[in-house]
Amino acid sequence: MKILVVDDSKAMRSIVLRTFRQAGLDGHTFVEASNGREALELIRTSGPDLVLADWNMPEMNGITLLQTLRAEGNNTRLGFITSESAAETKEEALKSGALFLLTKPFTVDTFKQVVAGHLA
Amino acid sequence: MVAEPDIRGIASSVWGEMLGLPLEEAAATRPPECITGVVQISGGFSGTVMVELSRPLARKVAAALFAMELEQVTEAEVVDAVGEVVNILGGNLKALLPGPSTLSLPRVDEGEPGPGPGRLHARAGLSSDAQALCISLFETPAP
Repeated sequence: MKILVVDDSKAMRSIVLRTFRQAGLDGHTFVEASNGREALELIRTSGPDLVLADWNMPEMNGITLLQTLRAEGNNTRLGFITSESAAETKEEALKSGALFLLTKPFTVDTFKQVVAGHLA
Repeated sequence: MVAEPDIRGIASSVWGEMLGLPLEEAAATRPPECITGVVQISGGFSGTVMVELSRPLARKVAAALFAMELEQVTEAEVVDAVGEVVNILGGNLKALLPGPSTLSLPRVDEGEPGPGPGRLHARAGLSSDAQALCISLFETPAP
């Protein structure tokens, strides 16, 4: 699968990629973007199979990215990996069409439980 | 509302699950020369989450987050790492406060600790690898 990891923190993008390896979820190709606007262009042009996006980012945040995609009729699968853990945030994410909202910090086991099922 | 044990609990998760660094309770001593990360919460609760840590500890945090040797860590990586740590602390603390509210992007500065942006709501003093760090939640008075 081609997976797009979107986060304004390079550290966080590196953690996500490392957690894939630690969880034994190998065999994927990764592309990175540092904000929602950059991600939107990459999704339009290179069509990833799955997007893992942060919520709070400069230029365009994660929820606007998701809502923009859906408004364009683009159903690329997207899950959030974010420090946001409030119930209303999760509700808004799922209502807008997100697969899941994984809260940081997370363990390798939690990451695997949440993400692995969406890699088929 | 948020109290000191809430801050310690969230910090323990960040230090244990993400950084793999030790974390112990300590006096709430603000490091004299520190790197400060702040993030604002606006909405049902308005205030600022601030993490203050010594430069050596900030470098250790960056090395842990990027999984690299201490000597390889650049200034940009220190700023990125401290920003991400305060972002995670802020997001998790926000969930314990009255909402709905939004979280700002993090800001990272260096220097002597200032008086703090608003009224101190809760503060936790901690220590990691014998280096002090301090995590504070300030409440912005209503206009």
